[in-house]
Amino acid sequence: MNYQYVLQRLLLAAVVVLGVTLVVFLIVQLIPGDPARVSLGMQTTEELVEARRERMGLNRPLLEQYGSWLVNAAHGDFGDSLITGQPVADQIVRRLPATLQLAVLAIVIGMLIAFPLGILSAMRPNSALDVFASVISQLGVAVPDFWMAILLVLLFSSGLGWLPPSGYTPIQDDFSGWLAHMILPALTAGLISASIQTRFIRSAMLEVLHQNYIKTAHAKGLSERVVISRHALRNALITIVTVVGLQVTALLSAVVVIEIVFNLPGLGRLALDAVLDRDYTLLQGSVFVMAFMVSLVNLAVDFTYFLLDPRIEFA
Amino acid sequence: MKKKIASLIALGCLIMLMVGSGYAQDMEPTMGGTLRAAWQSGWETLDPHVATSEATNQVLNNVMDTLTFFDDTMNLIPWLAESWEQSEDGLTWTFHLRQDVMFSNGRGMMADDIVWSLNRLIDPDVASGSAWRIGADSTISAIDDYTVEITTSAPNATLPQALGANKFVGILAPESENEDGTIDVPIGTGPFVISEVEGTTRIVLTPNEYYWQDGPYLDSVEIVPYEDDAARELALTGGEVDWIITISPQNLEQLQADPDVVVELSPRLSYDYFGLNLTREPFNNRDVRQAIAYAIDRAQICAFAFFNICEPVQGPTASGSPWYFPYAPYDRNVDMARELLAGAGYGDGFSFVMNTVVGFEETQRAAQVVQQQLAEVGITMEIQPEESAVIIEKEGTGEFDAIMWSWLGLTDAADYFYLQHHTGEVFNFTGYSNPDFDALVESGSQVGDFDERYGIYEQANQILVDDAPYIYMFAKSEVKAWSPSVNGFVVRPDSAVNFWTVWLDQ
Amino acid sequence: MTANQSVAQLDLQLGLPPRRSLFQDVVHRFVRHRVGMIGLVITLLVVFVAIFGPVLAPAPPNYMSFTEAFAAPSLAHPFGTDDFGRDILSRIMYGARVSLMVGVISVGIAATTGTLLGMIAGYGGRIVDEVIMRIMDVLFAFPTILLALAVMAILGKGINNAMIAIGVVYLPIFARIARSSTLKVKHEEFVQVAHALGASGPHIMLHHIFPNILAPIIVETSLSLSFAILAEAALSFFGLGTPPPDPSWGRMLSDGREFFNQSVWIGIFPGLAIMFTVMGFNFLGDGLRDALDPSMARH
Repeated sequence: MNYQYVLQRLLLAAVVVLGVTLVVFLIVQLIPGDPARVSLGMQTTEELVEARRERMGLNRPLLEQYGSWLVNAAHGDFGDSLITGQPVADQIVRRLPATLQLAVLAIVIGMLIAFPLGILSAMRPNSALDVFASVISQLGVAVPDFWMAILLVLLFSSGLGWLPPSGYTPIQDDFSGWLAHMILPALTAGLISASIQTRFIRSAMLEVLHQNYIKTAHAKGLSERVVISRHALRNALITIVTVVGLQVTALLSAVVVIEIVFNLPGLGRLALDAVLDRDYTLLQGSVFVMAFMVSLVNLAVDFTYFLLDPRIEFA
Repeated sequence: MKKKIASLIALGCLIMLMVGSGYAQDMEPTMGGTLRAAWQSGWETLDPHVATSEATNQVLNNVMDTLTFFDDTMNLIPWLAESWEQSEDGLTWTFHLRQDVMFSNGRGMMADDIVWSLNRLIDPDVASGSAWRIGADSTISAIDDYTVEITTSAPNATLPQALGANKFVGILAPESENEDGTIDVPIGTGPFVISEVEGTTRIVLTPNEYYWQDGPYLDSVEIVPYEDDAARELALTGGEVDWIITISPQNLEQLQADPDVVVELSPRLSYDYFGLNLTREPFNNRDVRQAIAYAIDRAQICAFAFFNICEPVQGPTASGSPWYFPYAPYDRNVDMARELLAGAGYGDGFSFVMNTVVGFEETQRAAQVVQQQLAEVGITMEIQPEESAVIIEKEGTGEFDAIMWSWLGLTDAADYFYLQHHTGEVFNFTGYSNPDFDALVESGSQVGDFDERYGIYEQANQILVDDAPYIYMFAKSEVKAWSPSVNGFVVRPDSAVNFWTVWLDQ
Repeated sequence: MTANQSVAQLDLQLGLPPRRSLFQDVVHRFVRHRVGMIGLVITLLVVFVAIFGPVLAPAPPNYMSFTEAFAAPSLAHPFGTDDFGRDILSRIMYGARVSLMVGVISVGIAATTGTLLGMIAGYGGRIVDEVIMRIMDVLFAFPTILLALAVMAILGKGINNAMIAIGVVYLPIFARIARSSTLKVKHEEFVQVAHALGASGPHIMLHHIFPNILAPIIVETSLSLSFAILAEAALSFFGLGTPPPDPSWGRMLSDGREFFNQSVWIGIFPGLAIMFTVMGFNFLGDGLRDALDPSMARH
């Protein structure tokens, strides 16, 4: 194994994460308004604001503020929310499960739909199935996510009465309750993600299927199933891993909307509220954690890449 | 459409009367069960002296008590204080406490606790937004274990009303405070205790076993915020929650027609307005403000902004309030508006930006109707929605032309007339200042007799409506909905949410 | 007589079929691409409506006819009226203009700055490359909606800032595509020759590299247009897109959502308009990709 490659990727990821902290810090600095004033509410005086600024350390040089945030964040301390007064880290930890569960379920649903559909339509290009798959995936991409969410609720909840329209039950409390609540949100995100994945998987498979070694395998008289599973799929995997990785970024964006429509207590909603309420410390912490998660996924994708095809060089 | 809704409201009120007075009382409350309640927005902090949001107040409705209280029809009644009297000079109020009240930690409530609570409320370091209700320079002292004296710097005839206004002036045990002086969960004397807080996503209330009155009947209340109106209503019809704090007005008819939903309405002590920046051209000119007041059609705004579940108003108070005044000079008059504009030198009209509040849909809706109405007199209005945090900042800095929002949680005349209108008050963001008006509202809070006070505020109201720093549009109705298995809930004009009378069919 | 003409005459004399230029090749492939042509037709239709909407629309888009609120689709109002009695068809026609403008300008911002940065990264030295691309990685790590909301919180509300915010969000994609394409053509002979002849960096980038990386950029532009329209819809969902009463499809859709129970047409038609247009852009993008890069063609 190429340890130098692994080390370089890790180093790069660290640089990106550091960049993320800097951007988040800059966002908070650039948004007009004063965190001290936000934390004091409406009924306040200039002296109180000034005293609060001093106490919150907002009068220190910017570099020092950034540095101390960084040091504290490294210890898992993101400060206290300006609005609720609760530690930001606690709130993030409490909100993480719903978001992670939603993301994982959505990707699984997406893959369960996209793999069969993508592979089959690549095997029979221009067949009825292929046309069907491409229409469906086009539709999936073209529908705004909150729109899709409402249609699903109207169908499965108000109409058929099969699933609860919203809400959340922790997985450790009641598994079936958790599942019932997660299906619709996960389906919303999953269908959108399936549409994108189907297209990528189809074209990745097509490309591989037309390469010489596949033709050779066919010529050797191997059955189609063997060719697909043993040769084609494995080689298409690299593209697919990339796609799934990219999906995570897109998904974390869709998650914000989906958590609102389904009233899931997730990280996306927390970050959104923080932006809307101008809760600067909460914003800094929650947006950082979301971006940090994306960076981790990107790193994981790189390593999977490397494991699948060790020939990949560090570029 | 208008008529239909009006008749439905009437029907709704009728049903409410029947529920309120009829069979509900014939049935014995059953004990037990969990009420799942949907809030509209997340609470901020639960410290009553730091919080300012209605969402927090509505949680604390069930956790804390006040010295005085307003019953369901807004009459002032004894609560933690059995009786009270005012001194001859009007400066001192003496409150006699009940002797059977215990905090939820089992300790008996004494006068020292009242002194501690109210002193913390007016402590400048705590910087509570409700300190004005007592007055920051008041002294609070315990006469004996069950008697408290409050001395104000000027006569305050409405101190008993002020001390029952909401839970931000409620009583809590000093044990609530952490070492650093903050409060995570207040320990009160109310019917429930806060037993679980999951950030801003879930609160669980369980009965206070030391509660001094009958009730509560429920085993627990689970409160979850639903920001999205559609999601909240679907949660009720889908059986995910039992009770929702509000509905979107356009769905009233549909929910009323649903046999699995109970909808009840009540007048609401609030008003929707837009405030004009009096420190800017052309709103520093009274004729221009009056022109705007003449140019708008309030009935149309109420119909299309809030689907007629409201009452058009020309001043702060609506007909349901004891402080309603029939002074209404501004029925729509386009010619008059044009004349006033021409006289003020704006015959060709002018442009301004109206800030509305993101998340308060009725402000976007009302603004669009106002925009079309003002266009008819030559005024160009641009609508710019902003987040509430930005609006509050703008109100503080004065960086705006006009802001549209609502003012709620009002009981006494002082709530209506003093806070948002008196010179220099923080909530008076328009910069309105009229010494005659100030003098009237100052004397209004020093007089005890209702008729005399009514006369004073009637004059104040007339000055205010004529000066038109705010254009009052309508007063909404309070609408709440729940599943038929929920009994005993009363929709109150002050938007209070009291769960100790609620019980569930088993 | 130019060289091309002489070749054509020679071909003619030899009885060979007429040769086509590279551009003609692309057009030829695109015209035969059924999906791409459908996309082109849809796109042209949307552009047509956006330009001539004010002439074609049966009513002023923001005029509230209070007596006609909640009218179901009829001859007078083919798409019905909304909660203020405004004609939905007219609003959708005007909305095409808003949505298209948001799409074109925000993607324009993303494509120009992104391509420029990508080319500089690809053509410049290793350090320049690292710095630019790591910044892009950082931007790429933020969930798009949150980044857009944060940018709008910094710049303030309004349609112009919304376009900038969406542009910033999609910038890294263009930078990545431009960079990898630049890396491919960088070592081609014609670039080396230009370099050897003493052409300046900017000159080479503009005249030699840019024309040769245009194909993937064009494809991505077409696909991003649809993302931008959806992003505007999402911002409107949070109440931060186009301010009322102007009819962007996103705002109409999120407003109509509140009346889904009673007057479904208020939200359905803007939703269909978005779907139709987004599919049109995607089809066009697919067609362009297959036509511009035959090796990528669908089989």
